[in-house]
Amino acid sequence: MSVGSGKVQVLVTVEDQFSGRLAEVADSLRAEGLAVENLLEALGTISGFIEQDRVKGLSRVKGVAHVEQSRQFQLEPPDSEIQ
Amino acid sequence: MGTFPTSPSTVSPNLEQTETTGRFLVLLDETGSKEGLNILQKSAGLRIASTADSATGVLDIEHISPTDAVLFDKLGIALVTVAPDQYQSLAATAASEKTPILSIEPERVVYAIQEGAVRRAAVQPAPAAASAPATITTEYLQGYRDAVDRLVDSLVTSGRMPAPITEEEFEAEAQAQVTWGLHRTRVPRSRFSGRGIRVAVLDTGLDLRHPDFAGRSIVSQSFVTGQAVQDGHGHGTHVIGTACGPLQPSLLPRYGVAYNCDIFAGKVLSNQGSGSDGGILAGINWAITNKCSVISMSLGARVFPGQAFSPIFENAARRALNLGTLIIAAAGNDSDRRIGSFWPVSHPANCPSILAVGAVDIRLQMAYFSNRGLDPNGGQVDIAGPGVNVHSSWPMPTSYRSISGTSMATPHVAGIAALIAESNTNARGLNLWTRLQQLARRLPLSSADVGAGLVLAP
Repeated sequence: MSVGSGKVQVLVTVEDQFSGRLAEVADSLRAEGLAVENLLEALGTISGFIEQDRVKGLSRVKGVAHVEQSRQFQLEPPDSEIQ
Repeated sequence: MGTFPTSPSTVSPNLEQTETTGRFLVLLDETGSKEGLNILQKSAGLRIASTADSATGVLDIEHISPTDAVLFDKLGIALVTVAPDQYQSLAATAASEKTPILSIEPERVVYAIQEGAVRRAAVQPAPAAASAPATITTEYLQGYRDAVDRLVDSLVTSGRMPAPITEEEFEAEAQAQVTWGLHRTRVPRSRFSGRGIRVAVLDTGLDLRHPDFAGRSIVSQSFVTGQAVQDGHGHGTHVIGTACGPLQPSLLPRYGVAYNCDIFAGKVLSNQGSGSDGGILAGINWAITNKCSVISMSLGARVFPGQAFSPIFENAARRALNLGTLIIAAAGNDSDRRIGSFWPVSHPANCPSILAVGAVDIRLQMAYFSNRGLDPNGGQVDIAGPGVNVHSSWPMPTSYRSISGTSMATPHVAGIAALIAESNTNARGLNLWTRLQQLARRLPLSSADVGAGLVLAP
């Protein structure tokens, strides 16, 4: 994932009644500064990148149920006995 | 198991302490209800009243003559009143090998078990003795259900159902042809292979040039920017090997469960082993869209005690279940039980709608690294799988490697989930989850560590 300086990856889940209107919610999120990456239709979820200090603003967008910052995962190195 | 009685008709040893009604319950096998009734009629001279003859499924037991039997046709159970000599005759029939009468045992007096019974008792004393209810109610049938549970327990120990694997059997089969993990989970005995079932494994990809996957149906997709599906780490090839590896690998032992399933290899972790929630969700979305019945995720991020699960992943998993896709994820390896260090189930396995898998070793003891269900709200371990010294495929030219982790336990469960899904078209989503737990072998370990127990193949 290419992340711009100061930007964080966020995940936004829409309320159930907005499931079929992901593109519409995405437009509203763009207006709040989100660089939309993916519309995950089956999950009712949108991923994207945004400046850290603007994350909170996304929760106020109509149709948004949850906003989370993306966590990072790291496997053990290939030669580790426990993975 | 040698200390248990071998005859299925043996009356439970603590009968003297149990209040009985003088009637007997006869358990008929699934196919032989009709034949069983004939035997009851001929050998014991009983007249049969069946709930199948009643539009409501309810019979008035008090109006049934003492010489009659009542058949609960949906349960395959007859309730009979017999004289001692008739009982001996029926018991002998039940003990013989080829008979639809699986068992006969005394009907017990069953009392209602009430929550807060002590508190209520102060207000309304419990009845001193329960007489047989006048009609067959739900509660009455629940009592019979409990009796059936006891019958099944007795059958399991009587040898009419598959017995637990003995150490000798274990050694024989394990040394021969299959990994200990497949053997312990009874995969080689299953007649299912995952045929027609799509299994998504979201990991570091797959070594597409590994000879053990030649000729397999493989759909792959990378969600890692700038990296192909080709596995540059090894972890992905190992876990796909366990869930989906072949019946006959180029070198024994066999290590793969669902050898005929359709493989969906989603690369959500880089060749350096790193990834993010965004990539994993994209992989889940892809797997659901492709109608995969099972998603295996041998990945996790550490969670601190009391930390809430992710609503985003819970929402995703709930939608997946509703669409017939079960997500199975590793409980995590953060613990070190050797020094008394226990960590809760990792993200995202700590979501209530994701099946969390702990790891056990060849002796079915807890793996020291396996996380524990410490967070009550969704953070339970749901089931356990083989996760110590697990032999599976590794990118060429290494070919094979043995490693440990809840990452290795997870694809055992995912592969077996595919076998169950093949065995029953209704076993999807939450039904598949339930079936996995029903089939699991109970272990003498804490459910906080192993959930329902060791995953077993259908």
